[in-house]
Amino acid sequence: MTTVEKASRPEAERSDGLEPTAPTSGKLAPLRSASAFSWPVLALYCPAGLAIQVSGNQSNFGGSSVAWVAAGAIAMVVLCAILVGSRRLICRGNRVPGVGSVLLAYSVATLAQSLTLGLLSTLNGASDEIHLAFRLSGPLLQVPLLTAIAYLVCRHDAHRRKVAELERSRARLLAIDQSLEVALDRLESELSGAVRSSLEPALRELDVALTEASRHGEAQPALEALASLLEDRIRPLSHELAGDQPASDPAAEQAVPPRTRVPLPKRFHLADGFRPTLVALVLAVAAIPTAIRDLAPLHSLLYLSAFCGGTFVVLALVRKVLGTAEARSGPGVVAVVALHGVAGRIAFALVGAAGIQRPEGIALAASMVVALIGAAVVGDMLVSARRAATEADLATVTGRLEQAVTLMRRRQRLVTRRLAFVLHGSLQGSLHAAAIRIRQADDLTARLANELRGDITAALTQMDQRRPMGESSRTRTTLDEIASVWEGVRTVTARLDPRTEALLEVNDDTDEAVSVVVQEAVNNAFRHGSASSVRIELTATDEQSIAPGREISVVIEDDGSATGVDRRPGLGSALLDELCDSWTRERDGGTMTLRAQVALG
Amino acid sequence: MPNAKPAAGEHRGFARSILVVEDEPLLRDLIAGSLEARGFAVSSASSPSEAVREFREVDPDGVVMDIDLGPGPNGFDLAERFTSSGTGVAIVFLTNLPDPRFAGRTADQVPRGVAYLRKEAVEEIEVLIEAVDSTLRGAVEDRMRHDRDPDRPLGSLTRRQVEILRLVALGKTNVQIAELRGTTVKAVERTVARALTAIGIDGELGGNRRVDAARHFIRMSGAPLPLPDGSGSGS
Repeated sequence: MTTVEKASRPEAERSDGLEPTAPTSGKLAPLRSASAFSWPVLALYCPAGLAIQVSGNQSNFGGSSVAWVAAGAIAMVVLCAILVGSRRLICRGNRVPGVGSVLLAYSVATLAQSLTLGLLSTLNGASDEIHLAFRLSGPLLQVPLLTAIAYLVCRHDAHRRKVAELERSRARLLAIDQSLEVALDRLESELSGAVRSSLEPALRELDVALTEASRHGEAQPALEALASLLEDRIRPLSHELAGDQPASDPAAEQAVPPRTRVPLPKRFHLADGFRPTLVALVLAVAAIPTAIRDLAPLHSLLYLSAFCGGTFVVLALVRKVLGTAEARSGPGVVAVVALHGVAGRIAFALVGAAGIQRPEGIALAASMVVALIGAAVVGDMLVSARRAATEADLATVTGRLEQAVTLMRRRQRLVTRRLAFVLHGSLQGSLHAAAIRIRQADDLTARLANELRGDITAALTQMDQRRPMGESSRTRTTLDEIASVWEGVRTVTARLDPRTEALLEVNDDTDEAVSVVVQEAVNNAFRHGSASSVRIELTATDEQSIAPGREISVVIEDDGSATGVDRRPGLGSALLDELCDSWTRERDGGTMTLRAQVALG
Repeated sequence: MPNAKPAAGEHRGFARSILVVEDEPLLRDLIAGSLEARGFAVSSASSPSEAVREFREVDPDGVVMDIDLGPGPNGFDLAERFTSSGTGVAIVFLTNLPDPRFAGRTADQVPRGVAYLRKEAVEEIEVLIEAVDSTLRGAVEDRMRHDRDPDRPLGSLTRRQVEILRLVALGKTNVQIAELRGTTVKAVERTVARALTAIGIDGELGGNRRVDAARHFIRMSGAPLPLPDGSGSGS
């Protein structure tokens, strides 16, 4: 039962200010989101990227810091403009971008940024030429950094989407929880009222016909009015009530909560913020352009191995030293990022101390790159940790919500069934009886007409009764009836333990639903499957993942044949869908088994 | 109740006992009153389990019963129970259903020697009294088998056509019907077209004709509630 998912998901997401995203969650799937071009990506990347560029350029080409900062800022504006334009182009009409198009946009933007910086550096005199090779290698460093930040932001947004979903579900659940009984009673009353209103004109016509007939002593108009009421109104209406109905989803109509905030864990183990292998690998990718630009191939390889290996070792040591130390999320993140920066600085220093050739003037940039990667790692860790808890929470809330909706749908089915029973049974019976009495009578007197009116009114009042079908809607009565009717003809074994029976007695709807399921299954087995024996077992289940959702487990086995149209899957399934939380019907050898779970509540 | 008729319920001075099984109280009282007025000893039951209990206690000569007795066992189920012990009980079905197919049974599943009366065709209570009397004597006449009347509502339909029209009345599409029955849509369309011709609605089953067919079926069948397995409730 997944009716609660009927709410239009993209609509709901837009109303929460969330970006369109791909419905998958693979490694790179988070990049398949408009979040890859969102302002948090730019806000995180711009300061870090600017700092790395300024330190790298100044150490390579000299010049004033102010000039490089100014040029870097203008270049960053170019990058932002291209990314914003890319978003408009790629994500127009709420299209979800592909990973390739995101990476291509990043490459174009960072290349433009790098070339702009080169051009500006010649204009402001910071550099005597554009240094094309240096500029073209820029994106090799920038794109991985941008991608890492975007990955983190997209992960965060995906999580926020989950949290928004959770909050919507929670709001619906709260609304339903608070008013379930009232809503169920109103539903019942509205259905009953609608049926009465629908019958009213025809009943008035019948009343007029009875009056006229008793006044003139002619029975025929009254008989015609009775037939018309029966055939034109009551039968179609009872069919309509008892037939397939589009299931309404009251939960879907609940208001969507305002923009949601992602609650991150309050505390975390500091060691969990360190992933030395991942950092070393990302660092290797990010350090390649500087290495191949400044060093000979063999020295590049040696430098990359030593720098990345050193960073790995230092981070692994830090993680070991931290052990199980915990910290609040805010200061903890700052500490972890700082420690990454320090680890990068130490590793870079160790490379120099070991006499290995390394690019000059990038010590600060190298340290910042490691810190940036560390920020991405710890951010991802926090979001992932919270996401697992959110998903578990969401599953619980959604389960309870589904159960509440199931209960409402079940009540609707039971009420329409009762109303149809009254229409098709009592009311139709009273009309038949009236017709026979009119024909039997020598004269249709005013007294007889009044009696008939009274009979029909009495039949109609059954619509207001909680159990118009009497005790036959009780499971215990149903089992006794089946056993007594089939005794000596077919074998019926029924098991209903006292505890389950006691639970059913205080849960009217569940009792009636179980009764209906048993009746349908036994009817099906005997009438359509020609079964010779049926075994019925009803037990209350205790251990449920969704509180308070205890259920009644219904198991019905029969040895009937699998042939016959009514034994095929599909027929009867609509009723089972509406009355049961879940159900299966399967054949194993000569045994047909129906297993159904009916919610208790 | 008029009481001037001959005492059909008495045989050589002894009242013959009849069990009336009808879940609708007005009809039950009317039938029971009419039978008592004709000299029968009448007991009555409103549900299958009550009927079994009364049957055990009274051991009636005959049973007048409805077929639709609510959502549980129906009149055919009870008849199977009552006749299984070889008691030779006489049975008169008094029902809304044109024939047994509307209760998921075939014609040959109706016990031998029973009378089958449609409520709408019983214009006078005398028809019922006569059927009870004939059944008790083991002399059921063809006119007391309304389920065999060629002019009965929807009588020209095959069981398969009845089933498919029932699904049409439930609002199922041809595709859904084909899925439920494990046949092709073409086969459903052919069966539906033949059923339409049989009930006097010409042409393909689409739009208004589909509605017409559903309406006709509901009006004519007197069928029990269109519950998914074909069983029903009500009188």
